[in-house]
Order: sequence, then structure tokens, then C-alpha cells
Amino acid sequence: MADPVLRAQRLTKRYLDGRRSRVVLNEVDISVAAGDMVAVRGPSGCGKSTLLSILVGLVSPDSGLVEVHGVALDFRHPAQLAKVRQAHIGLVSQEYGLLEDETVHANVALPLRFVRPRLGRYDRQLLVERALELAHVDINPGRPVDDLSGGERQRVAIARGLVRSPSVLVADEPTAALDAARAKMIASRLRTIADGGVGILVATHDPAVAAFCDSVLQLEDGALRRLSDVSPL
Amino acid sequence: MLYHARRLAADVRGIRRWVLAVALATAFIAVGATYLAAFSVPFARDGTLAIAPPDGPIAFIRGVDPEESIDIDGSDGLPSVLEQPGLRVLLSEISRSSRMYLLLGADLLTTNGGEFAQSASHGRVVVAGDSRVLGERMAGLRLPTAWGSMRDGPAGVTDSQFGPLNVTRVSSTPLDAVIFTGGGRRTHTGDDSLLLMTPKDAARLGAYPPASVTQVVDGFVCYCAPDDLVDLTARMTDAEHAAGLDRIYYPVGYAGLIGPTERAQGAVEVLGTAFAIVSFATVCCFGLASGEMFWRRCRKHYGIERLHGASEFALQLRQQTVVAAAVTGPAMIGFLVVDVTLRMAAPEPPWTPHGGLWLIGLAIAIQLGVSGPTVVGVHRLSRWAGKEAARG
Repeated sequence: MADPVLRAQRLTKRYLDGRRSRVVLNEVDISVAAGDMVAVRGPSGCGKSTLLSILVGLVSPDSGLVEVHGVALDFRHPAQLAKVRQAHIGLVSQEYGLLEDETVHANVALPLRFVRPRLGRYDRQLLVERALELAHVDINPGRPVDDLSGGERQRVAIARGLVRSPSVLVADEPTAALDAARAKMIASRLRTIADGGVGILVATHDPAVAAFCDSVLQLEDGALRRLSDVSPL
Repeated sequence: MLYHARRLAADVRGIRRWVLAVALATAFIAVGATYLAAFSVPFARDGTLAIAPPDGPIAFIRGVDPEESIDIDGSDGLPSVLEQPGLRVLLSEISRSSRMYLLLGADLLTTNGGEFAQSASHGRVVVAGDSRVLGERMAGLRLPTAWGSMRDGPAGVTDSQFGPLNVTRVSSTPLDAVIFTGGGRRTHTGDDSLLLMTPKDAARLGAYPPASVTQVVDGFVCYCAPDDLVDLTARMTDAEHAAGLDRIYYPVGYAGLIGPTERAQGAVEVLGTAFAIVSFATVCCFGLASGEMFWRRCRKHYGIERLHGASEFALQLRQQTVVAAAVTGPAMIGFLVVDVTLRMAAPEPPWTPHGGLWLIGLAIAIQLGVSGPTVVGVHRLSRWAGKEAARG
């Protein structure tokens, strides 16, 4: 098995629920290797998004270790977290997270604007086109995002996650707002991207997405349990 | 930065009606607040009649003038009000007494209502025979004396000249000296330009219409009991009668100052001050509400950009620019519109000392207050989970 691009050990996270402390993650271990597609399932509110947020350095755990590409995240230093995130992680937010008043191209190029601001226009164009191709977005990049369908928006969001050629793509409920046919298409795209060598971690309710994954983990009562090893379709 | 400039334009374009509405409303309220404050704050600053009377006895003179309307309609060429028989008696008495003085506006001691009178409106002239009436700090001064800083004082008053009079400038202003106005208010020296003048010099310069005799008499103060003025007011009244005039003068003590006129004036001043305070509070509340609305509108976009690598500094700069354009800028323009207009159309109101600094402080306070929710929100964006950032 390839070296993990994303690894977490003994992650613990508690939230205050009124006056009581609720354990969302209890000594959780997880690992995603290059080319792996891993799904995390579980009921609503079980902590899937919290787990993903910790793994990409947006939320700090109460205890535990997170390594991205062999670098341990230091949650006391937001600048280091941002640097690691920008270097190695592609993000696909739930409900797309697109700038509605911008074009497809502007949305996909967004991370390049901040992370590689000196990139020339031509090079940026090339990277955007490559990301759109990887995500199978075959629409005019000049179209405004608010003209797009749900499936198109989701693919644009995936293209944006891929534009910096990350080692690992983290997607939170990427098919939550899509019908079954479109969800299957998106899952298929993610599988293709993983086969290209990118590690993918998906939080999902959708069995169709899970069916495309190498492994499916169930998060319940703070514990992460391996459900099955599924061969890629 | 080019990207952020473009996004700033997009931010404003997306909320251009909101920006326009907020900017116009803020400017409108600021104009109203400044206008009210310009005319009510001086009263508030001087204070209403002091609740506690002064330590020693104090008395004032009031006059009744059946023909006052004729005087106040006067114009250039009419004899000085100080030439009136009763006031001549009063000035003569002041020149012999160390307990009496007359407080006049500097604009009254001019021969016409022209430019000098307008620019001199916030100067004050103390007409006194003995400088000791103004307190121990004044004991060593010789009359006539220009006292205090003339640099910010009435135009036309130089270190050595007030109208045709030669005056001497004293180097330091006794800030702790307190004088009573004829209305019983306390005035602290240092607030205004203050000139000290002998009754003889005051009579030479003259108090001119539109000041009325009763207005001039209202500025008289005596550190004595009202009974001590009975004889003086009788002589003043007799002098008027001898000249065929019907003016009557009478003494009042500190407690007798508050009559129906004073109560009405006090109510107007309190209302004016209250309206000004309410208007300023409205600007602040409106600004806070606008800041909150702006943050609700833009936090999703800011969250997405922050999540994908935008720096906090750039986002803070963007939101501060929008707040400055929509709220702080129009508020300052509103304040300055009144200031410039009043400076062009005299009489200029007596502005608060260091008003420029106050205005800058107010601008900073508005900017920080209105942008506060957004500053905190942008700062917290980096800690948001991706899902929350995307949902806004």
C-alpha cells in the first residue's frame, strides 16, 4: 500500500451541548493513501464534517495528531495550517461554495489567485482548463455560475478543488444536493480522479458514492469503524 | 490586490442600492445632527443656570422697555445703545465699583453689522472698572487688555488693536477664572476669546443695534445683594424718565433669574440638545445595523475566499472600504456640509474647542463601530468549517 497522504491518529473532539460535554470523535484513526478513495458515512450530526474540518486544519482537535504528506499539523499556528492546506489539500464544500456572481473560470481559478498570485494569465488558463477537464466540466468557462445546474456546479466545485494539483481531495457531501443519476456521475468522476493518483476523502450519506470507494468507514458515537472493502466499479 | 479591487467593485455592485440608501440616509441624519448640535451644544456647554448659587452674594439688573421694538430694528447710523441715559448711569457706576461688570458679545462693540461683527460673534468683552471683579488671578491686569489667545479669536482683533482702541495682550489665559454671564450662567475663561475693557472705552466703541437696551443690561453682574442695587436702578429709571423714555430697571437676585422667559429658553435649549444627541445616536444605531446587514450579505463570499486562501488583511481592507464609502464618508460629509455652509453664512456658531480633533475621533469611532461585526466575522472565518463557510 502507498504511503498515506493524509493520516490522523487518536483524534478526539468534544463539543459543549448545553452544559454537557458531548464526545464527537473519540480516539479516531484514519488514513488516506494516494489513489485511495475513502468514504466516511454516518447519521446527520455524527461528526463527519467536524472530522473533515480537523483533517484539513480548519478546526483544532482536543487531542490527536494529523499529518498531511508527512507534515504534522500545528493547530496553534494558523499560518502553518493554511500553508499545508494550500500546498496539499483540495477542498470541495457542501452546497458547492461557489461565488455566484462570478464565472466558471473565475471560480476555478480562485485558489490560484491567492496561493500563486504571480502566475501568469496564460499559465493560469492552462491550469484551469486542466482542472475542468479532470472534473469533466464541458461547459463554457465564461458562463456565470448562477446559470448552471446543480450537477454542473458540483463539477465546477470539484475542478476548483483540483486546480492546484493537490495530493488529497477532501469533499464534504459532494452529492447531497443532486439526484441519483447526477450523484452517480459525480462519484464516477471522483473515482477517475483517484485512479489518477489523488487521495480522496468523502463524507457522504449516499450509498452510490460509497460504492465507488476503496473503503467505507462508519462514524457513530464518536468511533470510526470500517464497514467494508469495496472494489472499484 | 488587483483581484481584491475587482471583488470590491463586485461587492459594491451587488449591494449598490443598499450602499446608496445607507450613504444618503447617513449623510442626511449627519446634517441634521450637526445643525442641531451647532446651535445647542454651546448652550449645553455653558450649562443651564447653575443649581448651586455662587458662594457670595450676586445680583443682576433687568429692564423693561416698551419701545424696544424700535431699537432692535435699528441699523447703521443710529446712536449707540450705550448712549442711552440709563446705560450711561450704569457705565458710570461700573467705573467706580470693584464689584460690578458688564459682559457683552464682541460683535456688539462694532459700528456695523458687517464682516467683522459676523466673525467676531464668539468673542466676549468684559466691561469693568476694576479687574478684581474677575477674580484674584486678574488682579494685576491693567485695562484695557486683550486677554487670551487671539489667534483663533475674532478676525480684526490683533495683539494691539480692537477697533480704534489700543489693547494689550496678556501672554497666558487664566483657565481657571470663572465669570458669570448676566443670565446667571458660569463661563470658564479659555473657551472664548475674552477682552477686558474700561467703561469709558466701551462707551467710545459703543454697543450698536441690533442690540437692545434690555439685552445689554442683561449682561450686568454685581457681586452684591439685590438690595444694594435698588438705588442704582432707581437712578437709571429716573435718567430714562428725564429723557422722556419709559424704560424701567429693577434688580434681581440669583433666585429671581428664572422666570417664564428663562424657563422657555431652557426648554428650547434642552430640546435642541436632546434632538442633537438623538440624531447622533441614530447615526450610530443606523451605522451598526448597516454594518450587521453588510456582514450578513457578504460573509458567504468572504468565507469562500478565505477558505481558498484569501488573506485576512485583504478581506478586512475590502470591508473597511465598503463601510467607509457607505457610512463613515457620508457621515463626515454631512458634518462638513453644515460646517462649510455656516462658515459661509455668518454668524458662525461657536464651535466646540478642538472640533477638528473631535470630528476625526468621531469618524474613527463610526468606522470601528460600524465595521466591528464584520471585523470579528472576517477574523473568525479562518476558523470556520468548510460547510459553514460555504453556507454563509
